[in-house]
Amino acid sequence: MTDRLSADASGPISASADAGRSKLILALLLACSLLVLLVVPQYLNSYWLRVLTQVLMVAVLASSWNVIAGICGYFSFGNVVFFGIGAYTTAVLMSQFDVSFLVTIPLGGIVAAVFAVLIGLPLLRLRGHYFAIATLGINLGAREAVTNLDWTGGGKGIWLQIPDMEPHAFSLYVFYMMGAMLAVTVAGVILLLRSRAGYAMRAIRGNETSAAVLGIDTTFYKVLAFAISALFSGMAGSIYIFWMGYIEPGQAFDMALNIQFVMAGLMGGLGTVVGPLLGAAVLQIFSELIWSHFLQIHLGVLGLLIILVVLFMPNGLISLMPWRRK
Amino acid sequence: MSETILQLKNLSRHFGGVAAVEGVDVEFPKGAIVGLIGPNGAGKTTLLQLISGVQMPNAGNIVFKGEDITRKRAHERARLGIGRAFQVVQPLTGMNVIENVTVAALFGRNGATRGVRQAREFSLDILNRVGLLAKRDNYMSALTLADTKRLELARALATEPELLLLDEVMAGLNQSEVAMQMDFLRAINASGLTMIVVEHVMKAIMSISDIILVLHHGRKIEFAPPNEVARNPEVVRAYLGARYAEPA
Repeated sequence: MTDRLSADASGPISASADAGRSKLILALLLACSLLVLLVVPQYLNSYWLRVLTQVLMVAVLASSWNVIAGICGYFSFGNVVFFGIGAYTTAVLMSQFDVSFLVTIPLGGIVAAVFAVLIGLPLLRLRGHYFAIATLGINLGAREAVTNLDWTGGGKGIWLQIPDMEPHAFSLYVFYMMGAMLAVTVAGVILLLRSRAGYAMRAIRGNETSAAVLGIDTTFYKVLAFAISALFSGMAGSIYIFWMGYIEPGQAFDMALNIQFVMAGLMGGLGTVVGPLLGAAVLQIFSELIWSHFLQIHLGVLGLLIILVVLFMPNGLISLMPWRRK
Repeated sequence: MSETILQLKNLSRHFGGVAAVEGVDVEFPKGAIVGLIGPNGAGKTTLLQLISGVQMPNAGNIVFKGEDITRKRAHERARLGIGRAFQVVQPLTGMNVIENVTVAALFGRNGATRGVRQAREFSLDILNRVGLLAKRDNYMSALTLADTKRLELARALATEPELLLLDEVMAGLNQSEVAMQMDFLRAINASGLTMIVVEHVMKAIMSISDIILVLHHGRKIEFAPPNEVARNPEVVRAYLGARYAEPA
């Protein structure tokens, strides 16, 4: 008994010191980025504000996707459908019912989450790859449905009233809204990972048969992960339509955007809190720089970069961080 | 033997035309260590799959503590008190040792009464008992085979089962590890836990079991104490080999 205790003694102390240090690094990083986010935008022109808002949005979507794909291990390849549903919820409520923008944000998330539960209940009873393919189909289906409905404006889409704000102030407002959305999403993911639901979802990713035999209602927690993923994605969609002032089906259910946040998640590191954020920032900013320097071949260069990251860092950019060890 | 904890009534499971388990009728006494033996393909693992709810039977009923659980799903059975350690270890990859056990403590029989913090503390205690405490922060790649078997057992125990299904938890262990494992199983049995143990290490199963269920081609051919099983000519023919047929 005594030797077991003494053998342990070195373990927890060094581990907790390590954890303490990584927490400090993380806190410093957070404080710095918060400062940057609060101060710098005032001095940015609208172009860069727009780029950064896009970074924040992709970060929200990548983090949301991370909940179902990274934490729970179920690859949903049509997650952009929730973004689209959130966007349309806000568009319809604002244009036809004069609901104020801020009120529509949570509603956009809730409508998307309810939709996730409805499609998740039949789909997530299945295991494995069917789910990935089915979600792809659902996004296409939703896009077709919205195109053919009257009250969604059909293929013509919906225009919102131009907000009564000076353009740069408007850009700043949207930037901070999206920043707040990202903060909410990240806080949600952190809380989730610490909760029993988080343990259940990670267990499902680890081994679904074991998870069930250990007492986890796997269908319930898979649907929950899907709904949380949809909630944050839908809210991001709500902010997006307000930002653009216009929505049409191709833009709301855009597979190119879907690919962006999936790539951001994979590149940054799935299953972690910071990975998708890192991936979104690196991918979006690189994409912007490459685009401005290699106008003709920018997708080729970007593709090459992604291949290199996936080849040499299968766990994502997050594995470069000093506090990650495995 | 007194009370019955688990009753299988005419239980069958077919895979296409193959009967993996066929009309098995048996009552497991509470508090016993039941050895489950039979040649390869006799249906031992399938029987455990049916009891734990990983697979559903084609016919028959399962009654646990007087309640018919035939249609209950795996996680519901775990909460009722049926624990399981797999033959091929099934760790939750991406989670370290303590997290693997914490999941079991959070979702097992008394899981709903615990928060994450209490579940972790409870898990530390279990890891201490199986001798894995020092490796609690390790991931699967850093564990030996014996360690993963211990982890499998620790996780099953953390669900606080009343009936524990153990599928070859000694396979691949060396002599002294088998001896340790047997002592450990006896100790947890002494606390009142009923166990169904599938094992190929014949000496171990004969010495540890109170009663032995012999399956052959999915059918029950004997359910008796070890010494009787060893004398049953049908069992010997099916499985044990001539060496065990001679009187001791």
